[in-house]
Amino acid sequence: MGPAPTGEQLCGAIGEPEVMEPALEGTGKEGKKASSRKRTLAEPPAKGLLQPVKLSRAELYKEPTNEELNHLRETEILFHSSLLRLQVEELLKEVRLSEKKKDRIDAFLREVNQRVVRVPSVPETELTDQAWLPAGVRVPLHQVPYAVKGCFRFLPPAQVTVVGSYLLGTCIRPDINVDVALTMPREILQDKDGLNQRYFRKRALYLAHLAHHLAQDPLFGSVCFSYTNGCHLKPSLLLRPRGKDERLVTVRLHPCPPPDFFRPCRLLPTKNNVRSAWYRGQSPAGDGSPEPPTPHYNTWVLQDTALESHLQLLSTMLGSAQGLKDGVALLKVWLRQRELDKGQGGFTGFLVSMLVVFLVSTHKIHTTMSGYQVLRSVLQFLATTDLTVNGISLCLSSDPSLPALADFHQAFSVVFLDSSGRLNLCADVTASTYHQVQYEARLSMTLLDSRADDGFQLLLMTPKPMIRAFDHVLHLHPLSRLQAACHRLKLWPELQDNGGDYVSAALGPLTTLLEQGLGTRLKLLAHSRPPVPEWGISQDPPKHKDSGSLTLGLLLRPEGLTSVLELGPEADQPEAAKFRQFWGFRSELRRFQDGAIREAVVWEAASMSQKRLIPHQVVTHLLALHTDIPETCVHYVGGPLDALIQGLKQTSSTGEEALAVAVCCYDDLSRLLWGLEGLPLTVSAVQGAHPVLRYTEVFPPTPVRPASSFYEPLQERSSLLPRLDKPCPAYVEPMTVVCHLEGSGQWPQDAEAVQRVRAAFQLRLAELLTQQHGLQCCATATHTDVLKDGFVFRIRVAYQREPQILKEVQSPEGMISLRDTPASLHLERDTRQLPLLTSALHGLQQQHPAFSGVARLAKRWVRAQLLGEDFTDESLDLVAAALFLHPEPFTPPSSPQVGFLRFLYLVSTFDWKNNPLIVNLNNELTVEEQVEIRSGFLAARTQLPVMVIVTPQDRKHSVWTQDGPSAQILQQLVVLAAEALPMLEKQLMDPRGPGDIRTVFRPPLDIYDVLIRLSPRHIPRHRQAVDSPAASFCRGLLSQPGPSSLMPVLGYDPPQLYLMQLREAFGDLALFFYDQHGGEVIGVLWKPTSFQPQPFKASSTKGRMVMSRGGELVMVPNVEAILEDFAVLGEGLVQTVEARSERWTV
Amino acid sequence: GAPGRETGGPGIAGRCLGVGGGRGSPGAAARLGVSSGGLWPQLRSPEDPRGALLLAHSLGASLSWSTLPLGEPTTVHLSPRANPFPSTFARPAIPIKFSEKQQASHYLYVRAHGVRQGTKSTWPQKRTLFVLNVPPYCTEESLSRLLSSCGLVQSVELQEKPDLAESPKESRSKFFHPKPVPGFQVAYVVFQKPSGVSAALALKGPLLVSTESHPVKSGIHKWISDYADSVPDPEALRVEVDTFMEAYDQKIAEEEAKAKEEEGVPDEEGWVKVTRRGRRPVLPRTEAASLRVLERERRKRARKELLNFYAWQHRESKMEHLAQLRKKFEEDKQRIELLRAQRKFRPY
Repeated sequence: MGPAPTGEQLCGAIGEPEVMEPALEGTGKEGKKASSRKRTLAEPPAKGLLQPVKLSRAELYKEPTNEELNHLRETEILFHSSLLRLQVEELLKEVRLSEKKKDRIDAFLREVNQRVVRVPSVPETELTDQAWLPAGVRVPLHQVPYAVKGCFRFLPPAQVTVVGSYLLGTCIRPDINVDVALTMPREILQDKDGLNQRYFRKRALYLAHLAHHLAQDPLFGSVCFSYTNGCHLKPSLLLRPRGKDERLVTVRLHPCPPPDFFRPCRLLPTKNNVRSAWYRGQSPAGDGSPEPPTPHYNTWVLQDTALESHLQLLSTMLGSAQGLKDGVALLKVWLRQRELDKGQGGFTGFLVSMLVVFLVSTHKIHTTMSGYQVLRSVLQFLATTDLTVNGISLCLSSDPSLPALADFHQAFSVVFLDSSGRLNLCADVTASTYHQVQYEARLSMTLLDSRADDGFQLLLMTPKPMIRAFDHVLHLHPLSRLQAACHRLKLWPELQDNGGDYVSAALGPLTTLLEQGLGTRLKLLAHSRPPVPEWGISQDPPKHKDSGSLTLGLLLRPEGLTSVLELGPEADQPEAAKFRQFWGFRSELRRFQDGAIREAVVWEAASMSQKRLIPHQVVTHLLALHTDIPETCVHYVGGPLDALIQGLKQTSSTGEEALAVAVCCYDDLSRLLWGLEGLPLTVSAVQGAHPVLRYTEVFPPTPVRPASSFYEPLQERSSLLPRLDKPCPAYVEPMTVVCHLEGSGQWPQDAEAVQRVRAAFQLRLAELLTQQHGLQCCATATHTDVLKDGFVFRIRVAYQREPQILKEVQSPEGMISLRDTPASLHLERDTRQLPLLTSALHGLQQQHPAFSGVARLAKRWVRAQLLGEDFTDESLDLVAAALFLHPEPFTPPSSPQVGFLRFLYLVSTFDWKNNPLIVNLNNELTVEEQVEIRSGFLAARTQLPVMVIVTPQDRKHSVWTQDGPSAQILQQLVVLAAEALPMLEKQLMDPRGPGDIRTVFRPPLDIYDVLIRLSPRHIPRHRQAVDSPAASFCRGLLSQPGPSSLMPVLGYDPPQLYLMQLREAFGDLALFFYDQHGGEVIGVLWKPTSFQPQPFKASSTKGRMVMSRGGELVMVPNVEAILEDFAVLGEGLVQTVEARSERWTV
Repeated sequence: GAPGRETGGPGIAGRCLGVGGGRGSPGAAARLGVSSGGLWPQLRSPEDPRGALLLAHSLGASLSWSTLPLGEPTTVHLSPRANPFPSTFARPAIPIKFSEKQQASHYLYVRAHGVRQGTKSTWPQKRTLFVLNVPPYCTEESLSRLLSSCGLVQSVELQEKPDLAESPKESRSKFFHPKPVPGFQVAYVVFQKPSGVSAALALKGPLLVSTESHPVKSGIHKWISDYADSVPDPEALRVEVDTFMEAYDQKIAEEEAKAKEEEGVPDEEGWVKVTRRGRRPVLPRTEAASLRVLERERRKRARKELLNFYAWQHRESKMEHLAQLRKKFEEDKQRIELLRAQRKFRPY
């Protein structure tokens, strides 16, 4: 430990300040962090910064060319703005396939074609006799029941055709897939192959034989099976090239029947093609009722016959119109960002392409439209059309033999027929999925209509993973439970139709059940789609239960969350029985105040946080009651983060109630102030200015009842003092309240005199409150502390003109002008802006009940990372408010959990360098004003703080971030958030439970140069720590009101006092980091510049010593003495000072 | 009863000052013609205390250590570990520690206080010792005690940074100007005799701030006693406010009386000073007011102007629109360039 200076080392340190942390390299995570910090240090501040554009006059006013005019006109007509046009063009460039790669893919496809047609044929065998298959390959299909009639032989495909988006040029990077249809020769198939999965068995065997031969070919890097669109009866073969092109392309082989082999009339949605006798080994209920229809099974067969006709249709419609292709590509990006296209039954790119074709054929889209306009039109169509009620069809013929749309609606939840009029393209799409698409489209349309500047970014570039998009998420795990659920729900026909896929079969009824049960609490219910698996050719296909877990996302309606009651029909109504049946034993007869006797369900929830979790009770109750899924299999992720903002002793509440009690007490106090008699000027307004009064204090105050034996009483000033022989008393922070007086011309006009008069007001206020209301008061020159019902308020009298008086500057000519001074800005902030902000955020909390939780979690996290002191309370509150006021592309969060995740996302991705964070409180800023603010921001960027937050009251200065954070601290926060977000999301999405949720709240300590460990005895807020200690010290509080009504010890927090001294003494040399909520350690980081020797100057001697370096006298920090000072200044509080001297050299 | 005349009705009524008006800056110049620039300074009060203050500051800043006479720089090359007391350098350094328990020590850099010719300083020459790098736990009392071995100490003043003028004692109100938390400070120690300074320059140390006979509080002890001191005493505050306001009222009354005397009396050139206490209210002479007037003028002119009336105006406004579009396009292009550089167009 200590300085070990040599000349060479020092020279190195001068050259590059980053050499300070050489010890970090090579130790995994720490190394990475150090390097990222290094990057921040090394980066010049001007790089990557937008500069205001300067164009010469000649440049601006030259005659326009025809071409330029055309371009401008096109931009105006076809796009929103030139920025959007450029953005769209850039995005398309990024996702489109380059010509060079296309050539390579084409070459690969030719190779594939040659090899496929050369696969040798096999003689005919019974379908059930699969002994001919070589050992290394398994049939990619669950053959249940195994026995089936029919024969199979392999013959090379009659035709190999490329189908799908690759030919159309609408496929997007990454994950380029090329679909190849292999037409099986007619000799393989027999009559009645459409029955009882015979066609699918043959298809699977066909692929198995192909796979065996292709796997031996050195051309392919990997050969494996997957399912076509996730359908469990239809495997496909995936081929990837060997070598460096492995990630370039995936060729998917789909066998299909020869044209006109199946008679379409046999595959209508009303027909049965899987006989019960075969599938279940019994005929359907002996009374001779007809076989149940198998619409999904029929559709899957039909899909194989229609591959080529769909391709033809698409290429004739989209073929020559670049705008339409662009539009399809944009829509695919849009879907993918919302995770809507993935998995079985997703809203695929193919569906969107067909939708574009539909809109072209109905003249809603014209072929000359731009990609942006196509995107807009399709979203508009989706937002306004409910395909679950009114299906659409591409079929133009009015052939009476075609089935009616109503037939399809009966069989499928979403209906979109292709041009044949017999195939439902949306057969696998569930109603929930479609509603989600519709909901997203509606959100996107509002976003596009709002003309927001960053619409493109929000629409197409922001991912919306489930955990961040939905308020609550629940996992069903293990999936095998759903099999029992299917039997309980009597879904045998569906199972027969789905070929035994119980997950798909149960999905629809399950979501309907929950939607009905959650009723008004729910805005949207979405489910994850089972992922499409891939498996090696030598393995059996994965079982249904292996597809992980089923995840449901709940988007809650905040107004529905406060009720603990499900009101049913009156007892004598016929619906009552239904209600009882639906809710089971939870339904009770209740008499209501209006005299009605009704069926009702009452949930137990006392606090706001418990009410938020009522959906959990509903879901577990309904699933157990109706589907036999026990509570242990439902992993509800709604409130694991609540534990971090729960009060010290009540675990049932997240503090909203305690905050409301404090606010209520404040309301009482302001009434007392208004009615106060005897003040020379009456009170005109009382405004709160403390986080408690805007519901964002992390740990709400509790009424203080001091135990007199714990303190030293100071009777003559009726106050209590802390005692040396006791642990530090409880921390009581007075809540600031600003008190405005009626206007008067009698105030003095001199800053010093105003201060004195204000002090006299403070004294008078204390006197009157004691006299008239018997409150314990304590006046100082700047404020009056009032003890009311155990809460302490700090009343500050404000004089409206005082900031102006502080600002006045008289020029030599006698002209009085107003210039901002630090004192005036400070006063203005405290007495004008802070109350305004507090009341605005108080209002926000009334609108969005989750705001309090989100803001407090966010602050808790930032402080737990030891960065809390660099960010003002208000700046973090405003960032949290931005999540509610500008939630796009999401909706305002209704649970603290999702709000916190979005906070982390915002912090980790926001470009503070080039953008102000505009928080449009009360919607006061118009779009034009926001544009003006943005351009003003660019022009003044270098004078503004690193982090700029603009509100309607504070359009230019960003007052809450003026004093920090510095660029390095902000960068550190960004890095930490970027690491915490994926970690936390992974924990919450883990179906087996989130594990230790506090992991992301524990700060990394290995980045600090010195650690100062503090003694818990003198940390008053020790119990608020992230890992709350099992035992801590008594803080001198009684549980019942005691006789003492002396003023408790206010704002006495030894760690804070210690930090203040440290920063004052060593602020030039080092940075100090601490978690004010019960942190036991102070992290110290030497400033990169502080170890550079400096010339001897009177102003820079602080804590340094003179040394002779190469004949010159220079000053270097006296590290050894400073380390001992750390202990001296914090005597009693400091346990140890841990210097990691390996991390630095003087 | 009423606590003091400050908050009582008559107290405030006694200091009857206008709210809307400026600070005793009559609209005389505006009224009597702006050309009277030469006269205006005469009407203004001759001393501007703020100006004087500024002057002192700039002087203090211009005085840098390097211009002062220093000893010869030595070429001794030593590390501090080899030589823990680098007082062998020309610059006297006295090691100082908090107590005996500490191993390492800070160094006080001392020299006799002296200033360049012509610069004024209130500290007595020859008898004042200037001390740099005083550690935060070292108070004025302890420094005085530590240096008393060199001679009788008359006064010690700790300051945040070197300042030639002695700080005015009376403005240090305990209530309105609380002491800041100390960091490393500088000290001016005035000895009764010049010999004290030379004795101090030769001091070897190490000095101990806290000893058994004279313990200095730090840490928890200090914070608890600080807290006890900070519990306000309303009576003392009231007394202080009363005294201040009495003096202030007196000052204002005097000024008022003087202004009344001067009112309506022409000076030697015949100018009459118009104050806001006059019968007719005048425009306050503030920047805001003059800006308001200019704005009103501008709007009046804008109302008369015809827009897009002549063909050339039409042409010009079209061209202006085009130029705006071009500018926006350039801005957008720059934005895109930046986003592309940051790889912001990778959707996932």
